[in-house]
Amino acid sequence: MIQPHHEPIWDFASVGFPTTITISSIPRQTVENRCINLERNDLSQWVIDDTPAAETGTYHHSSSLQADASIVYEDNFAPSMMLGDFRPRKTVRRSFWDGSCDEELQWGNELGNQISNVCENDERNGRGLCRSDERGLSLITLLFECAVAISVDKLGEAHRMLVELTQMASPYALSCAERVVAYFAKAMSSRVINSWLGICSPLINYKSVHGAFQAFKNVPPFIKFAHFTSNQAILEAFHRRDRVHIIDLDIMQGLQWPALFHILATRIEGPPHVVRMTGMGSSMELLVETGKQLSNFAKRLGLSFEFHPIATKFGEIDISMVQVRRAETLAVHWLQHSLYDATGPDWKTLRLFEQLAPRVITLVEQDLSHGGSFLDRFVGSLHYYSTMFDSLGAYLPADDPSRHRIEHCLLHEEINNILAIGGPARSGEEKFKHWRSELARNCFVQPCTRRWNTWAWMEKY
Amino acid sequence: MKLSSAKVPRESKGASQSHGGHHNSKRKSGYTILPFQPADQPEQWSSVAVDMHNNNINNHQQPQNSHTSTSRSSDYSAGAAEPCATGNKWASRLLTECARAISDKDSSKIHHLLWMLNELASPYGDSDQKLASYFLQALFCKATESGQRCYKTLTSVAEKGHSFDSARKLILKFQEVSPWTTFGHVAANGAILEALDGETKLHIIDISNTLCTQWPTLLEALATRNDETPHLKLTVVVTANIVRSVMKEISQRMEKFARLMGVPFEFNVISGLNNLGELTKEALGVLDDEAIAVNCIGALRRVAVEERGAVIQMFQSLGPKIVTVVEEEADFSSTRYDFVRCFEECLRFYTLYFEMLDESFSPTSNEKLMLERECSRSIVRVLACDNEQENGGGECERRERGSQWSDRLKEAFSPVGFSDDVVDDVKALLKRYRAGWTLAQLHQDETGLCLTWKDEPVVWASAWKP
Repeated sequence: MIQPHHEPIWDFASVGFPTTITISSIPRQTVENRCINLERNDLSQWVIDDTPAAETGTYHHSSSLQADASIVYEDNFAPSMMLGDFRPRKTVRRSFWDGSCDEELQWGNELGNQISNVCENDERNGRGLCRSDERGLSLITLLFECAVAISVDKLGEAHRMLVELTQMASPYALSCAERVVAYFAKAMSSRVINSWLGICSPLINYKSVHGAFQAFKNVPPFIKFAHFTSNQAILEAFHRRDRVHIIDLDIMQGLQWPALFHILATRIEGPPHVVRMTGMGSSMELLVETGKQLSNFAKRLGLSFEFHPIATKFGEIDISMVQVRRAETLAVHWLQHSLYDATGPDWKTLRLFEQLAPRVITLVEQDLSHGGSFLDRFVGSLHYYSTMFDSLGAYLPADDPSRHRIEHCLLHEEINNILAIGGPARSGEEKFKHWRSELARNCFVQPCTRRWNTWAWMEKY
Repeated sequence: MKLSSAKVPRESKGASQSHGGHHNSKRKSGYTILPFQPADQPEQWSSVAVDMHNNNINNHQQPQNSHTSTSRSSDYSAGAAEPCATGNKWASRLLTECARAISDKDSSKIHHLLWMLNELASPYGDSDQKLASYFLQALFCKATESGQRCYKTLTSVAEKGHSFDSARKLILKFQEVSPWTTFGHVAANGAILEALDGETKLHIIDISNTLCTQWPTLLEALATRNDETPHLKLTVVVTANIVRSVMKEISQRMEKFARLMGVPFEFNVISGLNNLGELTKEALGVLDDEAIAVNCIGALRRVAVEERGAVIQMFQSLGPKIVTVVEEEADFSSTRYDFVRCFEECLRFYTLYFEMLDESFSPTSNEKLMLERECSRSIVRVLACDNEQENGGGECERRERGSQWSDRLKEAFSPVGFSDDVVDDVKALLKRYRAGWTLAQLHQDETGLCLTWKDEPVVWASAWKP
């Protein structure tokens, strides 16, 4: 029989967080407070999702999700929870197994019984919650208990609770909260096994991850928004400059750059004499492919373009590898995510920024910290991903395969990494909690003029 | 078993050499960080790793791996990397390797393979990922000897979440997209009706967990086929705890249905049995003037292996005119003392089953998820629970193939072939589903009919007379 690994190895001391955590002390309090806020948002969602259109007794499939979602995005970046109103579900009447029976002879032809998560007769208990709310609440409560158990090293207990939880929550549920719980439970269960084995390195399928990221870029406007604003900042930095060089710390398929090239090629003062791009990433093969695509595109636009792939993490390179030329205007771009550790040690990355002294750094940060203790990351990411799941849910129907792909191949991967031992880097390195403050502390200044009313230098999503 | 412990240091020491701990080559300190040193690496690993890896070999799969790191063999680090994204059947290879390692008690290999499986598995992903996930659970339980506890937790959660609505929805949806269950129903009903033709008092003893979804068509046939509708008594023996709670609901509906069909009907439920062999004629309410049919769907596999003979003797003691048996084609019984062989058979069967589910249901189906979870419980039960702990409660799950059941049944009964009419009915049934389903008779002298999925026999149905 395998013995569990005895040394406590899954978490790292972080700045400012108490090293001993007991269930009855402060962290629980913090957790509970945040939990309540989270519940308020999600409770309404559950009620709307799971209550049938009882008055009419019929159901129809809403096909107007797309339109609703776009309206909301114009006013308000985070989609409103009220979109749930427009999503009744289709239910199917099923005849008893061989189709030869009449409808009266069906099992369960009562309308109410067709749906499993229904608020039966609107029964509400003393706290004003109906059954599906209670279900969601109990799932989240159990999830928190698991997290606390993990944070205090009670692996066996956590594992038992997670076995339960992973059987109870479904990632295909109508309730976004239940989906979140399903993925969080799976991620924590994975972490418990890793703790048990004493190993925490990730195994990453970059192709699948990049593919899912691409799907993500095409669905909600988060990424497009980030691309747009960072391109604008770069354009401003490149105003009237003839030799420009962009370093993209994690280029993937480089989907952001064609738009920029287009504007550069058609700008009033004429295109730059040369556009250089240094693309960094995990696999040389993928980088070379990206480089080819971008070169072809640039050629069609008549841009003089050079591409340099570097298949190393930014924090681990030597500055000479970047080959910055004299009289070149440098822009550094970094779209952060939690899929894998793209840059290595943060302090090194920061030092390189200082040495390079680019004209602009465009940084897209997730509203999520990779640093801190497990519980810190757990609570922060629960909040963050609940919002992500809710917004996807507002945009796409419950059984949409691309929604499932994004949730499973992308968001779930990120959740897995964030909750893993040591966070996404899984290395024990200290990661900055907040790049913006680090950059500000180290003499990078946020430019103050902008026409488009967004953050040019630091965007968060 | 000596453990090689892999430790990740508490905080970054600043020096790039030891950061992340993945480069730590100080074996003497007692820490061996995975991936392992080349000296540790058995040759088989490279072949597994390279096999599952089709083209993208590079050094960058390990996170802290700098371009020039040479602290491990490149084969290994490459291999521990990207599984082919397009379904290279990596799961079955890794899982089988792991099962062998467990059987060989090779601790470091077990660790490594469990880690890989843990990273790659997901119950919500593609076929390989799902298999990896559920079998990983069983292997982990096996390696940590926590199978019984895990199984208890799984079943108690399932029972808690079980309701008539959810069960009904699940069964009906499954029947709609796949003939896996309806095949047995049609074959058995056909055999029963023919054997009991002309009788006036029928007593069917239904030992199954099908929630009586088999009987409405039979009731209808009874109502329409004969001039004089016989009296039907249905005694349902429930063998799984999970179904007990809903039988009341079902009995009401069955009675209502029979009334509508105009069939004189009596319905009884027997549950809470620890041992099917304990049943008696009296307990079942078998009367001398009744024509008895014993219908056994997916129930014999729940009987402890040593008691199966006794159960069949019990059937014989009831004096039935016909016994219908439907089981899934897999052998977890003769292999039960050989972990690796049992594992391989389990993997073979559930790979088929999961693929069938994937092709029959939509990708985001909750019903499919429920069925997969049911499988995960069986897998844990078969692979990670000791044979000695197979106490009653009807949760054994050790399937046998049709030929094995036949050998047992031949002790007390002789086989009855299915008539052409019944075979035609079954063929007509299969036509209603997607392609891939066919009928087969396994060998010339084999009894019963087999449902095949992509030419693999999956469900076996048979009929027997005294």
